[in-house]
Amino acid sequence: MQAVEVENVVKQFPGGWRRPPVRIIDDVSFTVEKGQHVAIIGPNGCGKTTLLRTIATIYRPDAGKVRIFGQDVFNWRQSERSRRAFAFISPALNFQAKLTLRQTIEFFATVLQKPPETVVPFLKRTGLYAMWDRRLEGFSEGQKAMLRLAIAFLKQPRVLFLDEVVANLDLARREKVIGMLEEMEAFQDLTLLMVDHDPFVVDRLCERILVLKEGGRVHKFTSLHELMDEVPYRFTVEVNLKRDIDDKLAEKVAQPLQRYEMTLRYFAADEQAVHKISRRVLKLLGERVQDYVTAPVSLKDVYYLMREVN
Amino acid sequence: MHPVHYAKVLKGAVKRNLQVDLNYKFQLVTDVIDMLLIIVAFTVLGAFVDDAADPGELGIDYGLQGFLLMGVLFWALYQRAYEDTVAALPEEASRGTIGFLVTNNVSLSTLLLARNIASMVKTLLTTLFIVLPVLLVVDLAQGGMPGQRGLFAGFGLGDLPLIVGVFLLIWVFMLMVSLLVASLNIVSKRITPFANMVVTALKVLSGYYFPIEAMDGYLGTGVALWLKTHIPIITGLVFLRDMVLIPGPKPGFGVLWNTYLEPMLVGILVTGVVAGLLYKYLERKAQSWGTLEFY
Repeated sequence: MQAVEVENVVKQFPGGWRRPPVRIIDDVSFTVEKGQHVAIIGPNGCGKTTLLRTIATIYRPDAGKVRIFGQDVFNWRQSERSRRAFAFISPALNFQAKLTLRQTIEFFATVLQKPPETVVPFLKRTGLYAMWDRRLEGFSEGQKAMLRLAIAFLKQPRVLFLDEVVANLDLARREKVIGMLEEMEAFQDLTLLMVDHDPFVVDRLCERILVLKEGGRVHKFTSLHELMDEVPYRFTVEVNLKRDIDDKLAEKVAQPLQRYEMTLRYFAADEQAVHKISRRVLKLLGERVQDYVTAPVSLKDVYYLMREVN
Repeated sequence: MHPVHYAKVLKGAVKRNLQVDLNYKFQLVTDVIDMLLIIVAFTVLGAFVDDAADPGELGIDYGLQGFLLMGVLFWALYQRAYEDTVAALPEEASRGTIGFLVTNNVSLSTLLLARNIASMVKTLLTTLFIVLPVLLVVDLAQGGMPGQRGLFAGFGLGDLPLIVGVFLLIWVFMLMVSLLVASLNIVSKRITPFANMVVTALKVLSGYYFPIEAMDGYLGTGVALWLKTHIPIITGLVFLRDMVLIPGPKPGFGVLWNTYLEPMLVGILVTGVVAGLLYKYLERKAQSWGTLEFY
């Protein structure tokens, strides 16, 4: 059963006085089956968030259709019903700092036509329930991220749209939020469509990936495994340097190379290539090497290779 | 949306606005102090002019002090609600709640209505428990006696239902004006100067600062009369002044209907249609232009 159908969606914004409109999404089509967890990834400015917001009815598309469980979200007769099926959460959702957690949940529960008690088990699991009568002005960013998810689950949606829900969180808080999602039974049955820059998050929560490219077009819509298989590299060799070296010397060891400051990342197709790169690292960089680590390629590497190398 | 659910959402949003407002006690206190200062200033100014001039020269049937203080009482009810309503969407946008609420079938007009009702509740309480008692004290101190002479010379309890009805009509009118101005906020940023311009124009024309009847020589003969019968808030304020300030028997309902109520209803209807159409058009445009959440 198809949960989300996106058909030839085009979205453009005004370009300014006497300028042509800027096309952000260009003829995007894809479908998400019920229960699938899909991530939209792509380079900055390729329209990931615009696409998600268009599907969530915040923006109206210039062309194309969006259906949620068969209901056209932009048809005035069906939009209200289709909106009841999904929840859209983004880090932009903030709260009245002067209100308590209880007052906030009560307000959102009224809007969503659900009893506030629905979300109490989630709040208890996240530890937020202990702050039930505390004002939100004292909440950390991690706690606010949990609260956003609590509000999403308060709606008991069939489809969940998440727009970078763990953005601006440190590693520990990110892990806590993702861990909480993974553990939730309700999450397992949900259809998920999410945007996130962080391959770690995508890797953990999604099994299918919609890759957008510059100009807001679909590059590919594939499973995570297929995407990984398409990359001609299986391993990375990460080298940490003691002192800076010339770029040319770093490139002489092997290519492709990803470099950020004193760390070099080389990509190897197989174990033989790993050994070869290791030998060349020791030979050419010698005592300038602090340490080096070999690991299988992750989605983070795939993301980089897709963006920079192809 | 089902009407019952709409009413619940509206009630919830009003409650949330009041909960937030009550947390900003400094603003509540300064609002009251500001109002008291205006009453003091207009009391002194009105008394000074009344001592120096004949009300007939100003084109009004009552003293300037009473004229001004009725304007203060009237605007005390509506101005804060208007300002809060116009500022509501940028406030919600800064909280990031607009996107969430829209995706949950809560329209921007619901947010505006909820904000307006919450502010009206607040200002109604302030007016009933602070402005009105202060005006009564000022009046008594100057020898006034409700129902006989002074500021409430023409007021009788029997007039109360009609006065409340006119207040409600003016509330609807100001709600429409708020919606009209706030609609611009959906597609444009920083409209506060425009919103201030609108309220200043309405205050000047309704005689908040000076009776426009006295300006026929400048505005042209009949302009004041036209304004009094075509702009509901001006008609409403004239009605309040005539009912409260002028002692003696009141005209019959037929006269009141023709003079005040009918022009007000027509004006409200026209404003409502214009505001509704503009709001729907701009809401749709905002979804196309992507300005719904950005201010």
